[in-house]
Amino acid sequence: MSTQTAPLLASAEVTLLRGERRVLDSVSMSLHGGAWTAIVGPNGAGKSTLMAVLAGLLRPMSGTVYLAGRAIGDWPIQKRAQQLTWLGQTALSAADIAAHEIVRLGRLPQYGLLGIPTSADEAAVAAALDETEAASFAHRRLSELSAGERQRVLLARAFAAEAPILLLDEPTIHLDAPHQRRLLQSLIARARGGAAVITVLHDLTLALAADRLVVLADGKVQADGPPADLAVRETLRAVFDEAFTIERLGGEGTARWAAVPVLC
Amino acid sequence: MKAWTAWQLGAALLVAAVLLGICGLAAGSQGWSFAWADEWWLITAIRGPRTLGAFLAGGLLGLAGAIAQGVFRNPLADPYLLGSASGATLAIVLVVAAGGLGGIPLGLASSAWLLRLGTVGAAFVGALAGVMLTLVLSRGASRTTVLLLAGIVVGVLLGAVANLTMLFSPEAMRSAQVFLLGTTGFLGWRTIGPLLATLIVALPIAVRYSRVLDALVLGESTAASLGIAVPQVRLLLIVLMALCTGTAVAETGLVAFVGLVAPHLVRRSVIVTHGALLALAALAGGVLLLAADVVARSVLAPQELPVGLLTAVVGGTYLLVLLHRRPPEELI
Repeated sequence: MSTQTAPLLASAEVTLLRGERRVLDSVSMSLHGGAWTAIVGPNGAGKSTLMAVLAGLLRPMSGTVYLAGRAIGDWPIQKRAQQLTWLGQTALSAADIAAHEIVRLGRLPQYGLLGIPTSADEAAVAAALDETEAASFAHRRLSELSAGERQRVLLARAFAAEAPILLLDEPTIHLDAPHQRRLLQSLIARARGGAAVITVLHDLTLALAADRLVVLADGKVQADGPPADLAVRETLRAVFDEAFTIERLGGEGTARWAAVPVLC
Repeated sequence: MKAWTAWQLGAALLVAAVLLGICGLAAGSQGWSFAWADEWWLITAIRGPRTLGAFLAGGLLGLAGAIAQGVFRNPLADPYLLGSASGATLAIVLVVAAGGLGGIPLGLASSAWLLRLGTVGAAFVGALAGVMLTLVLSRGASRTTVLLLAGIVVGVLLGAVANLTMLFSPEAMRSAQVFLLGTTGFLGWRTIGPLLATLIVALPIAVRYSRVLDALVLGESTAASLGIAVPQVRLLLIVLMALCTGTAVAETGLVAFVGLVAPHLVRRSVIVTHGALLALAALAGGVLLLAADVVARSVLAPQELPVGLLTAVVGGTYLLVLLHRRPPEELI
């Protein structure tokens, strides 16, 4: 589609099967820098699987993911990690480690497994802790934090990497409203700064604030476009069984959208 | 309570090790004695190496336990996972049974040190072979669950063969008993070399790769997304764990709970990354086994308790306390 610049990240006809089920069915999409994309869809649509495939953590059965124009499997893994940060929904093990050490791990692609964090790494860690307002409890054990505080530490880990591609699976989970807002502001700022930000979001009103929606259902891309596109909004309602209406808020040019549950 | 720093804990453990070491030099079969000039031969030939050996063997177990708990992301993991215990047991049983067939009275209690060397070597080889068999059955270290299940399978299979052998050779059973209980009674100068060498090799390598264990706290996928070749590094750490366990087991038998409890003690008292945890767990393991050895030698003197019995009772009690103090989900 875009001929002037190669997309930062792209999938071409990616298909992945689990048993007989097509979790991903020929998914193709291009992700450019400068935009925030929200992947939405019902439970079991393949959203998290798609994120893991885009991150190069899962190998599709057919099709290819391209990172900066080159097949992602051909990238040395440390170089790949410098380009791309992935935050998934993973279970932590008994985490007696201090929160700021977790954030420092976000810089691992820069300083390397056997390397030592430089002052630039430390500055990025401190900035990320400030950005998610996690600095005040950064010296406590991860296991002693509340779920929301822990999520802010994990987000700081993702931000500290300062990678041009951010893949965040359910980044708003456990966050209260002020921190959700702050996170979205961070994501938008990063996108404006040239990063490709890709999020899976269950809160549709939050997702409707994104630059671009990818509606995924049954492993297929059902719609792909800005929220202002009526067809995208209609498909979104359809894949969720018309469980909500999408209301327009604000005036021309500054239009926002809200998903309102249908209760009768 | 303000948490200790890693350095403070390290210093405290060192002081404890020195004090216990002095007790170890003083504890003899006639009760405690500090007339060291008169007993110089006893101290240099018997109590000294035994005390040092207990410290080193405990250190290896503490290190192996910390690696195991990090690699398997489970605070209940211990060094004897993955077939090292059953492998070593089977090897001991086989060697002793074969000796019995050949008319040579072998066994751990055998005074002939050459024969003892045979069983030590067998235990070491057996422990490593058990882990290798597990790795072969799980086709490498890429999937943790498969690895743990393979370890259980190997444990059951090798255990069955060992039991069958003992059925036909009662002499082997007696030796195996000593081995299964764990004992510091055979630690002499000859044992110091292998114990020390393994610790000197394994500890720095493990510490150097410890960031992988930090990253694994966030899950295997996240560790991989950070640019770590998880299967390869995990394999390296498992090999180190097997080496530490094998060396310790060969010299002391299956001393229970030291490898399980030492990392817990450290994690409870300090907030550290795995680099410091590995070093401190080794130190804590050394202190634990040294303390157990001193007690085992002195409570019933001139009789001696098997040291593994003590560590099992003390370690088991500690774990029970831990279970009731912490919310259950943190132990899973």
